[in-house]
Amino acid sequence: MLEGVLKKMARNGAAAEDEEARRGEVTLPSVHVMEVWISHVLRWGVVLSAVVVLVGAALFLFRGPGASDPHSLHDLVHGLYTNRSSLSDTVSGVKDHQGLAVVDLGLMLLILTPVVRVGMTFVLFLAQKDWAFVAITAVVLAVLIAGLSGAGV
Amino acid sequence: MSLGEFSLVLFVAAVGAGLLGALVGIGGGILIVPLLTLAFGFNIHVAIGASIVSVIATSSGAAAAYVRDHLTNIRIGMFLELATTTGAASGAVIAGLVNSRVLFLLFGAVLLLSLVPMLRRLGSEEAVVTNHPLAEAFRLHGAYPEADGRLVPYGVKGVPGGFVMMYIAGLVSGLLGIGSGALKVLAMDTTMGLPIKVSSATSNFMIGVTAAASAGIYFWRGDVTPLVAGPVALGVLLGATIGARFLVTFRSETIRLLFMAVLAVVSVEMLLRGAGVA
Repeated sequence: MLEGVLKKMARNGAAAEDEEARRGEVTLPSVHVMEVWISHVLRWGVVLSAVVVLVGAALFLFRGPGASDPHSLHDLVHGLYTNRSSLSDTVSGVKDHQGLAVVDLGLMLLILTPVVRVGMTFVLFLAQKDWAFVAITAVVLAVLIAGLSGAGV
Repeated sequence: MSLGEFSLVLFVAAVGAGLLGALVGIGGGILIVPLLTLAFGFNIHVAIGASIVSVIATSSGAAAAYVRDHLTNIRIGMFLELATTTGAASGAVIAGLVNSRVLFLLFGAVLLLSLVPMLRRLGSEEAVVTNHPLAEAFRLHGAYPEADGRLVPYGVKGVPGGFVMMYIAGLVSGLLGIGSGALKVLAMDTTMGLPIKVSSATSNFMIGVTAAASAGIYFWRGDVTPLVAGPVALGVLLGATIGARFLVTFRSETIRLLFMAVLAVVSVEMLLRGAGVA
């Protein structure tokens, strides 16, 4: 399956190269495949997160705060609330249609966007059999995943 | 004021910060923490949590465009992300341990220092012809297209020095919730001798990943408050996008100087808050 995905990526990258060649622009083969995909992941990751945050904001305006959320401006500025700070809290909040849990979900997707970008870079270096960079990218991914898993909190 | 109205106010203020940041060529992140603490009275940890998330939003948007235009050196970016992500993770851990006054002092100092590279223009040095051995080993050199489509090849020097500076840039980013793009550009432009276009594009590419390394830690610590971070991230993103689209040619020297004066005042305010005077 992975091979199929890689082939598809290579085809799409090649298509973009052809298009640029037609327009008379420079082509940088193989790196190019990576550039096209990274560009897409970054752009659509941000767009998706922004949409989810907006949906959460709308939901919050209609339904009001949940039990542990701030209920007034005074609560918010003085820290009289508890943020959801685990995945299960956020998921159960989203299931309850709590607006701020959905906002949290959008922010999580935003944080995940660069991580997915590094993950893709990893796969592409793997496809190019560039072992030094496979190792480098693996270490960066490990640091990111450690942060996301809540190590060091 | 209701919470809904207040988040709209935050959103509008963040749009302004994003616009201003794009206008003078800095990330909006460095404006968010002073805005939230000095103007809105938030705890600095909540301000940093909101700021670091907004940094991911703006840098990813800009990075997407730079990558598409072949200005980003992905190999250099990945290589140096080893240093920035470990720096950022340690910065976020340290931020959870130190007193908020220390964070105010550090923020004021970094803000003041970030004015220095704004005073002088970067990017006038000779092209690097001989690669550092490490640059050779990792094939870090590259070529970027000029506006006329001509490819300009470049080499890379000072790899160990650049690596150390990137760790520090990551540390500052994780500690204070800013992109620390100025430090990253400085490391690549001055220490590693990269062309300024490649330095800026690659710095942007790295900022999101660096911020993600600390944002997770802030999130699980409970410092990312959705009612603050949500409107701020959306606002800065919108402001920076508008700024990049329409204002990129509008780089008036007067505005730049005015903005630097404002930043200087803000950094003094942050220092005073840290010292317990204000």
